[in-house]
Amino acid sequence: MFRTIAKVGTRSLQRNTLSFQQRTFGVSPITFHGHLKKPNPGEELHITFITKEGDQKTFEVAEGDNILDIAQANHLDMEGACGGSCACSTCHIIVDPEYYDKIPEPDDDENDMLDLAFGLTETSRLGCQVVMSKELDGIRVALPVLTRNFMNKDMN
Amino acid sequence: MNITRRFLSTNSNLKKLAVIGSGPSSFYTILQILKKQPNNFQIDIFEKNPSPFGLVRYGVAPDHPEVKNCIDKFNEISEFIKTGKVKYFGNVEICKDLSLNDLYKNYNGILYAYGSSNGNKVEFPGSLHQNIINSFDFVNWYNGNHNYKNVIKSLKGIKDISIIGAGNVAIDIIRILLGDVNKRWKSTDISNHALNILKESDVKNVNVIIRRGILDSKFTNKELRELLEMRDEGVEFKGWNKEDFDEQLKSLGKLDRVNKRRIDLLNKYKENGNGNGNKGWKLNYLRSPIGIMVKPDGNIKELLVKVSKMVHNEENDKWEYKSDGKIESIPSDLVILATGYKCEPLNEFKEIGILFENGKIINNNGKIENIKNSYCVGWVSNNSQGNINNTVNDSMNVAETIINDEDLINDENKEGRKEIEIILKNKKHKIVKWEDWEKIHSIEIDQGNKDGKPYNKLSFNEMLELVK
Repeated sequence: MFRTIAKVGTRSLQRNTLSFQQRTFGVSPITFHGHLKKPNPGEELHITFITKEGDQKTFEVAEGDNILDIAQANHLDMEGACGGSCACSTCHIIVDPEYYDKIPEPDDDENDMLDLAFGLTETSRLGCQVVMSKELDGIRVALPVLTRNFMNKDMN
Repeated sequence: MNITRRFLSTNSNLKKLAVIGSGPSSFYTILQILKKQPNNFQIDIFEKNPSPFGLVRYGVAPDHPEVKNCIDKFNEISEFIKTGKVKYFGNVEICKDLSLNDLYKNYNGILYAYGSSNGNKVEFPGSLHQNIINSFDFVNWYNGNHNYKNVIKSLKGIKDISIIGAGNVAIDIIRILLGDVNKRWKSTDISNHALNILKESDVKNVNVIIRRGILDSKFTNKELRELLEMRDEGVEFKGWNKEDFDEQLKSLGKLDRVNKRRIDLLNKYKENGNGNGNKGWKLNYLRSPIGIMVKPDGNIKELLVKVSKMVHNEENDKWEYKSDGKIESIPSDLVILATGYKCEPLNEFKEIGILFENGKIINNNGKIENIKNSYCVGWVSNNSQGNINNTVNDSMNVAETIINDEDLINDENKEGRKEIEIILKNKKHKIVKWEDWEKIHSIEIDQGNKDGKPYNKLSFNEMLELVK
């Protein structure tokens, strides 16, 4: 499926990905909130968020958790205004191209919502619709950076 | 500010912020400010209605409860209400119960977040006819704002309706008018007055009249798909004037994602239509209203529209609208104007010097530039554009603007709510506090549950009677 590529978004992801490889980092201890499961020992999956500030945050999570829940449980800036029911696009994430194809394809509902996301890229998804699986272990996702001017331009 | 003082957050060193309005932009901004700086602000919310949440409560369609899930987030304000960081002044209208002067005298900063209070109007001969209704009023009617209870008194004998405008509100209204009452509406928070009228409705056909072309459609694909899928409820999509765009679409070749998906959707449902639905709707692009034909009894018979066509301008290589010279008449017992919502300036703006143009307060990233310590967010800052996604982003940005504004200081001469409460008390004005609202809503839930609904919205008078 063809998608409009917001060049800014993709470029910043690439830059972030690069710095990810250069930087050393520690795995943060996780506090479990709400409906996140505790991974069984030895079955931990890893996810790295690239925040709006460009920081890398890696968490150990369980299979079956979705990315919105993971982000919110760890106090990252992801809104999820509709509570994860695929009725808004405030949990828009940009997935590292290396992992994008490993995620099951978005359905019509998710595509309808991605239509409304700002700075849509070729590898955009909604966090609430991406569920952690063994194939996605090590996935890296960026939270899109938005300024008000960008938004207004986008809206017109 | 030195460190010791920052830790000792007594009343006097808090920045006192007054927020006008309690819709999504208001709540998202306030919660973001308090998330980033929990100890620096004391925030008072002024809402002209007794109930909070603005268009989430009185705008979002009853069959979209998932969109209203954001209220769960807004209710996090309760924690800040308990600690006194936030106070809710429901039933307090600014420029009526309190003046802007009162606010500027008592607060360090003012945030305008009061949104739309009206619908855009389209004027043409006959547009003031009583059977031409504004979508703003219609939406408030079905969403249980009792001030709009009489917008529709009956839909008996009303068979054909024309809706002017092609945004998501137009689509919401088609679902309301044609959807199966028992399957779609009975168990929602729709108003009982609307439910009773819809049960006896005779509406069969809805024509959407759209001035511009397919590529300028304002509705989103989600809403469009939902409406098309209502074929299963016996609501037929009767097509769109595709042939008027054949040449344009062919010459443009590859379309952007949103338009491509939109056209694919429309074509899929048009081709698969079985023609058996006893109710249906149609998109009529390139049509603008120019008048009405009236029956001898005074009711509307037809809406007259002038037809345009798409013409390629060789000079700038753009597709433009040109009059076709043709006029069509569309059978219509009722006409609904759904051409967007509109914000209006407050009475005292001129006096204070706040510039309001093109449906919005003039601002830069939420800062009102010519007046110190004044901010705006949401629809009043952007001419009623965008959905909840835009509002979330906008609110995050405006919260940053407010937090980072060096001019916004905790001038200790400002008394904040202490003085405001005295003013309102002297006027014997009834304030709906947050606890009052929680009590009101629990009664709404009890009453609704008896009818098999999540809640029944009380009228503003009923709410006020519940408040001591």
